[in-house]
Amino acid sequence: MSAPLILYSANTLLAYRINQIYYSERHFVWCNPYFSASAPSIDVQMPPSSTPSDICRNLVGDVSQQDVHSLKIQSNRTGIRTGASSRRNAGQITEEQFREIDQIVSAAKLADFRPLLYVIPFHLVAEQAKPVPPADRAHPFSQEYIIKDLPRLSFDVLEWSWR
Amino acid sequence: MFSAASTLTLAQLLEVTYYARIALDRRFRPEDLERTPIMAGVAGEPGAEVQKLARDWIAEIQLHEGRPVDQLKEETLEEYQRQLSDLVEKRVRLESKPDPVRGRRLLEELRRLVPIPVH
Repeated sequence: MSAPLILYSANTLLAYRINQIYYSERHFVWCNPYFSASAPSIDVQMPPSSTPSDICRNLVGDVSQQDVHSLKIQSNRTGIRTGASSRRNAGQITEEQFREIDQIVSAAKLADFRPLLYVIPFHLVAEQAKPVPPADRAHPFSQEYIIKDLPRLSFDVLEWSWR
Repeated sequence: MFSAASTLTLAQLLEVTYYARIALDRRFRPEDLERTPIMAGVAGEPGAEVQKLARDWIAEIQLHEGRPVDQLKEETLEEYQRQLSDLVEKRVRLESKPDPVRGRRLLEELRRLVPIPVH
């Protein structure tokens, strides 16, 4: 299979803001060459069931319905804390900065978890994008990538507002 | 459920729960994780001990449910992911003692410094 043209990544506004300020505009992202399973590409087959489009739509739904028990939002809080802990352990942020992020995550309201869609031209990140190995039973086309330090200049951001 | 969680530091707990949640989301059985560690080759990938604990936790889930994770319903997987997130949030409340006033001030400052991106 040839390299994708574009990678899409669903993130939250809070994660975006923290990465911009605390991690020098570098973003840790999971991304996917498929935008949506409901609008399949004619170039690629069978996108995975959880696409960036699905993730954004679910987040918008949870935020607008004021779902304080939202699993996606709870997972995002934990994910941001995990990223901060990892960067502290790697010496990329100080203990004080880690504590600040921790306090911010605790104080964040549902609206801070509004979804953003990152649109990433693959040719800008081909060296950095690491393919995630799928389990043997996973569909061979459901390829994901991780980019650990995606520079802000390498992607466009869309605020997602559709449900 | 989730043996050894109480003996981990908060940093370790964050790592193991993150890794286990990702593995659950992608329906990796413990043997899948051993053969093809998710995030392998990414700087900052989880250490061997973290990966082992995550595999143990997924094995516990399989034992409890009586079937492999890739055969569990979406709602069941979500329930376990929720339990993992709850483990972390409870520990955070216990150890990091959220300061709502300081948290709100920092959050307001962050919102001011990084407005919603507009194109």
